[in-house]
Amino acid sequence: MASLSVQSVKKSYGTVPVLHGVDVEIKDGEFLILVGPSGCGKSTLLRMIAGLESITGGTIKIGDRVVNDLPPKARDIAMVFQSYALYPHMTVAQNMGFSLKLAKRPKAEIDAAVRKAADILALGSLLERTPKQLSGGQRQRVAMGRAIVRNPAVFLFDEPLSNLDAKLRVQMRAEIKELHQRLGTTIVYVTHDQIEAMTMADRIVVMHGGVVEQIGRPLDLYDRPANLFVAGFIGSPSMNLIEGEANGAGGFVAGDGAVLPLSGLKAPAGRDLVLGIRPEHLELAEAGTPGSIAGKVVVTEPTGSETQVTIRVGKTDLLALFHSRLDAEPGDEIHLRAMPSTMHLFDKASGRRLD
Amino acid sequence: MNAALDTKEASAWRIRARQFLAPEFVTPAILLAPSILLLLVVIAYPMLQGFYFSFTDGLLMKSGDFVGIANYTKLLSQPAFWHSLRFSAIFAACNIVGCYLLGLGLALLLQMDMPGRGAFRVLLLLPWIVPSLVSIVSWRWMVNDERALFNQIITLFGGDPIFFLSDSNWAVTIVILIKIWRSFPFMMLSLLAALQSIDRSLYEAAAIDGATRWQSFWNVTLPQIKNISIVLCLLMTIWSVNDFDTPWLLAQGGPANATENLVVLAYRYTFARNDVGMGAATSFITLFVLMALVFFLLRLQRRS
Repeated sequence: MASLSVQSVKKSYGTVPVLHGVDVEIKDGEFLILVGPSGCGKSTLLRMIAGLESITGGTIKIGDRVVNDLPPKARDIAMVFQSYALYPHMTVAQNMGFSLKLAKRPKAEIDAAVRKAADILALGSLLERTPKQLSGGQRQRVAMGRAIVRNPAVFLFDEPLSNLDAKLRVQMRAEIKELHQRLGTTIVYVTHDQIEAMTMADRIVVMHGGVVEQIGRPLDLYDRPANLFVAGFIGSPSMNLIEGEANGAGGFVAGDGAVLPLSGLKAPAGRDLVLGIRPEHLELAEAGTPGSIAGKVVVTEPTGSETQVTIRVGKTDLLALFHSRLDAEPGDEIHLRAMPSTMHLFDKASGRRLD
Repeated sequence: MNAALDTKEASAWRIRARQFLAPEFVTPAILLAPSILLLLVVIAYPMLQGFYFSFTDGLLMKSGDFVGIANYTKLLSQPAFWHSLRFSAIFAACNIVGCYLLGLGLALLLQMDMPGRGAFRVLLLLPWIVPSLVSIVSWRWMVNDERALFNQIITLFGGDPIFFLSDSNWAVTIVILIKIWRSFPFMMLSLLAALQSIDRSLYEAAAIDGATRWQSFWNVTLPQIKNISIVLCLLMTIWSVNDFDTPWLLAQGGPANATENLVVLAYRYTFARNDVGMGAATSFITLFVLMALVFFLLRLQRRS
C-alpha cells in the first residue's frame, strides 16, 4: 500500500501535447477515479503511472519513490486492462501466478497466493480452465485475480467494465468496491462512465482536453460543479444549462426572452451567464405559486420508477425528472419550480461557477 | 416379420431417394458437377494412372506389363534411393529450420518501428517473387566456376577458388542455402502477419508482471504464433520435398548424385533411364512419406 503523487505531469506525442500539467495527490488506500470523455488523457495518465508511457515532464511518485524512469515491473503496481489481456494459452491459475513465476518464487508459495486470490474472487472452480472457456465476467475476475496475487502497492484499472453488458457491469461495480474495502489497497481507476465514477470512487478527477477540470468527492462534484464542463458531465440525465442574463429584479432572462425566476439566488446583472438546473431538482407546482414558471409538455418518457419529461418554456427546452407518475399529455401546460439552493450559476465566458 | 422389415427398409430408401431428388440437393449437384468432373479428369485420373504405372515395367513410348510390387522392392534395395531419401530429409529439415529462424528474425525486425520499413519489406520479398529459373540460374553464374563472382571475391581477398558445384559437400550446402534464400520471404511474411495480430496489451501485461523482453517473447509471442508455425512447417515440408527446381537447375542433382532428392530421382528414372515403372514407384513413395509427415504435423497442431 502506498500513496501516489502526480506533480505537474505533462505528455506530448511529438509536438502534440496530450496532458498539459496534471496535479493529483492520492492518499494511501484511496479509491480514485479518473473520468472524462474519450481523448481527455485519462488513460494516458494511467499508463504513465504504470510505466507503459514515457513521461514528458513532471514527477510521478509512488510512496516516496520517484518512479519516472523505472520500468513497470519495478513500480510495485498491478494493472487490469480493458481487454483483460489474459494470456490465452495459460490456464486461469497460470495466468494469475505468472508474475510470481517470473519472480522465481517457490511453487508452494505461488499456489498458495493463487488459491487465496481465487477464494476472494470465487474463481476456485475455474483454475484449470483457459480464458477462452470463460465468460466476460469471469475473465474480468481473473484479470483482477492476477493483480491481487502480486499484492501491489497500487492497483490500476483501465476501463475494466466497458466490455461487459449493462447488468454484469452493475454487479462488477459492487464487487470491485467490496474488493477495495476488503484489501484497502490504493486504486486508480479510469472510466468514461460517470455513473461508475459516482458509485465507486472516494474521490473523482474529472479530466477534459488534457487538463483536470475538478477534483472532489462524488457528491461534492454533483452538488457544486466548479465549471460548466463538470456540470454537464456529472449527473444523468445531464443538467439543464440555459444561457441568458440576470435582469436585476430576481429573474433570469433566457436567450429567447423567457423569464425564469431565480427565487432569491444572487446573480450579477449585465453579463452573460449560464443557469444550471438538474432535471431531478425541477418539481411540479400549483399554478400561481411564487417562483414558478409555466411550460408545455413536449415528450414524456416513463421508466416506471420515474418519469422524464421535456418541457418547453418560451423557446427553451428543459428536462425534468419526476419520481412520481405524471399524468400529462404532450401540449398540456404544467408549472415548475426549483429551489434556489439547487440552482447553479456560471459565467458564460470563463465557464466558472459564480458564488 | 420379414415383410414388415422389408417395407420399413423400403420406406427408408424412399426417404433417402427423396432427399437426393429434392431441389436443394439437385440444384447444387448440377452446378458442382462440371468442376467435380474436371477435377476427376485432371487429378484423379492421372494419379490412378501413375499409381498403376508403378506396378508395370513400361517404357516412355510403350506401356509395359503388370509386374506386381517388383518396382517397389527393387527401389528399396537401391542405395541411390536411400541416398535420395536421406538428402530429401536433410534438405527439408535444413530448409525449414533455416527459413523459420531467418523468417522469424526478420519478421521481428520488420515489426519494429523503423524508417524505411516498407522498402525493406518489398526488397525482402524479391527472392520469392523472382521466377525460380531466373533466380537459380543467376545464382549458378555466381558460384559456377573459378571465375564466377563468388570466386573472384574469394581470390580478391587472397583465398583459393572453391568449386562450389563440383565438390559434393559444397554442392549440398549451396543447394540448401539457395533454397532457404528462395523460400524465407513467405515464412517472413506469414510470421509478420501473425505477429501483428497479437494483442499489444498482452505485452504490456507481461511487462507489468515483470517479464524481460526474452521472457515475453518466450511466454507471449511464441505461444501465440505456435499454430501458424506448425502450418508453415507443414507447407515448407511439402514444398521442400517436392522441390525439383533448386537441385536440378543448380547442379542437375550432382556432382554424382550428391544433390539428388526423391523428385530428381523419379525424373531420372523416367526420362533418363526410360523406366516409367520405377519413376512412378519413386513418386508414390515420396507421396507416402509426405502424407505420413503431414499426418504427424496435423496431429501436433490439433493437440495444441
